Amino acid sequence: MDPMLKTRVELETLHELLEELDYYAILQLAPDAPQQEVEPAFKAVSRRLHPDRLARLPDEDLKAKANDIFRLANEAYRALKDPDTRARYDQERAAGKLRLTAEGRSEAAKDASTQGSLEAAAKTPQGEKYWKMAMKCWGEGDFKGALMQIRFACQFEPENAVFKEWLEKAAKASDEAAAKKDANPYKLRIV
Amino acid sequence: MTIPVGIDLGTSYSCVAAYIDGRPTVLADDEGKRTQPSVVAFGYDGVPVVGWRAQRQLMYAPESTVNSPKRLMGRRFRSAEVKRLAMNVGYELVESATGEVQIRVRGREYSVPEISAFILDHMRKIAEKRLGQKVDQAVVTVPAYFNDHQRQATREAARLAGLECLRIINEPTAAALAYGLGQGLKQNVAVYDLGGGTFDISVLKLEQDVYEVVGTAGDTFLGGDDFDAAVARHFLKGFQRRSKVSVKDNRVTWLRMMEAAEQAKIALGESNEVEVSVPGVARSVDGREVVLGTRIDRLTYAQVVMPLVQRTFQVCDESLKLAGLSTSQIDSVLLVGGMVQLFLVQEAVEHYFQRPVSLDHNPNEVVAQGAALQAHNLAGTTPAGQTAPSMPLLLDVTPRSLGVGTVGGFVETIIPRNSPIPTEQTKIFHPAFDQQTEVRITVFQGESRKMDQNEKLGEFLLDGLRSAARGEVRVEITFQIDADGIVHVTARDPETKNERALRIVLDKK
Repeated sequence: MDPMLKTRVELETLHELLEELDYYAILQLAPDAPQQEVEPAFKAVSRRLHPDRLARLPDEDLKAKANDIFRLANEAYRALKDPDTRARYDQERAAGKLRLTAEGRSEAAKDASTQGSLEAAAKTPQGEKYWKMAMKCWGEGDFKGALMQIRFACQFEPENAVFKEWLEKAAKASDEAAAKKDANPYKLRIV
Repeated sequence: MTIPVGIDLGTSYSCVAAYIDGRPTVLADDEGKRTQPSVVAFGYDGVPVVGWRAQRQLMYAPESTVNSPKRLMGRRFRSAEVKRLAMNVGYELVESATGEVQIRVRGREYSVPEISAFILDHMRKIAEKRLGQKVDQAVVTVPAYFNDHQRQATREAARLAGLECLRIINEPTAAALAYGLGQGLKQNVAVYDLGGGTFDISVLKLEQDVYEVVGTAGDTFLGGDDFDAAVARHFLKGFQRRSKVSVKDNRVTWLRMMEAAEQAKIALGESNEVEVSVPGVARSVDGREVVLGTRIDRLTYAQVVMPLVQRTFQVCDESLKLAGLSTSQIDSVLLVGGMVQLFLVQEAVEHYFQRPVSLDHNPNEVVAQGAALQAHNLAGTTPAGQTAPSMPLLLDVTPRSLGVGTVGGFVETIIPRNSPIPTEQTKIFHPAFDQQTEVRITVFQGESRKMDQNEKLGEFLLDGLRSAARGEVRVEITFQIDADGIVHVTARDPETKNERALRIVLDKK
């Protein structure tokens, strides 16, 4: 079959059913699919059905339909890509709703706004204290010091993903700095 | 069928490219110059000259030479930005009947889109000569943080230049398109775009052919011109402190200082310390004309401009927050724009992102190349209806929030900035008063809660509401944005099913 004809049939069918599709259906994703499958599913739909894919067609009606469909795909992706929002949607979906309600969305938005930048990565006061010192050391180029402080921070928050990531970075940077120091030919080393 | 081109209409320089033999290719002029100064000079006969020839006239006839017109794009004459800018240009700014800023040169008034159209026309002629055929379609780029008025003015300029504007796309996004082409990358890319007049930062998730914009922020009044102005002020202060000379207090003095600052910026790329001399702006105590001279080194220069560089990082923080990423999650940093050639900027960016920056592309050409790519995507000449599978797909966002005005002069956001487009969002409102049977719906764009600090895009009326207590009547307001940036606003009375709509053309002809 001509690939464009296939796309056209898919667009027409989806548009016909649009009102009845939930977020999983529009992204062609199983409702129990693991979280890491959400993004690939959305990208796959994008590759096939994004309105820009049809930009060269003279068919304005089909383009308008693609826009309608993709608005829903974007809404679905935004809801499902965040595990917390997805959990809220799943609850609402179980209660028979196809779309995330305004309440669900605003709750999710609240969560998102508290999700901070690097400075706000710490979740406990003690963790924050050492984390800040670590960032300061890092800023001054003291990688060994940064490594030590992050280790302390990790004791209070062993599950913090940002800390873990930086622990590795600091260890690497500190090793590199040490190697540079060792390479200094003017310093004597005690063997 | 003609070849659609991509045009980077920059503050200081413009560049045109086209997709030829599977690659976005920069089109050079007859002298081999790959970029053109965004300068329009008018001769005694009023005929405009554009590009390098116009640039030369800037030195001796600043009053009839328009440089950096982009900084005026879509601005109102009475805005603070225009007032600030009027100090830094040699030509005369006037107010149009509708309150827009206009330029008066050699006794004639030009709108800003008209001036920009001369530049676009010049770029088009270069393209036509290189391609050997007529060019009438283009994708034109704008700073990501341009508002709708500025985008519309850019569209208008393209129309005046006889070009069908296929799409307005954001400069950092265009750069990312060109950067990722054919590499099959899977990474997070930050595009740091510091040009002559504006700063943009966009964060994109690249996954092979899909480019997802996840965060974008910017400052439309932060660029190379501001660096020059800061250094010019530094020079001027130094000269004014000298007791044996008096510096003339006029616009020519300021323009000469700006010129000296720009030359110092360029010269410092070669040497650690440079001499600066400014003739014709000062007299000694006994009334003789003197040439002012001073020296500046890299360290001093860096100190003077560092606050501006720091401001870019505040914007970077903002975009990373929108993207939900930390600097450690960025895999590549792409530098774009004329100012990133400054070593101190590169160094500061590397320090901020804690990784080396990518320099294997030309920061002055990559935006036009990306625009050419998107032009080919939207109107290229592969047989109609067939899209080559390797062509990039751009999943863009709306860079600014859209909302409606409410009582007390506040704006209620309906579509928050950074929402992927196309999108649709609805909110429910009540009339402000009892027995109110009509509501005026005013559409705003911007990030402020206050109405007067946002850009007004349009307004319309929904009438025939049931006369009742305000809490009992509901009005549903829905905003839709299409992939090509067109906004549909609908107000609906759910009781009577009465409906009114407004179509706003966000950057569409």
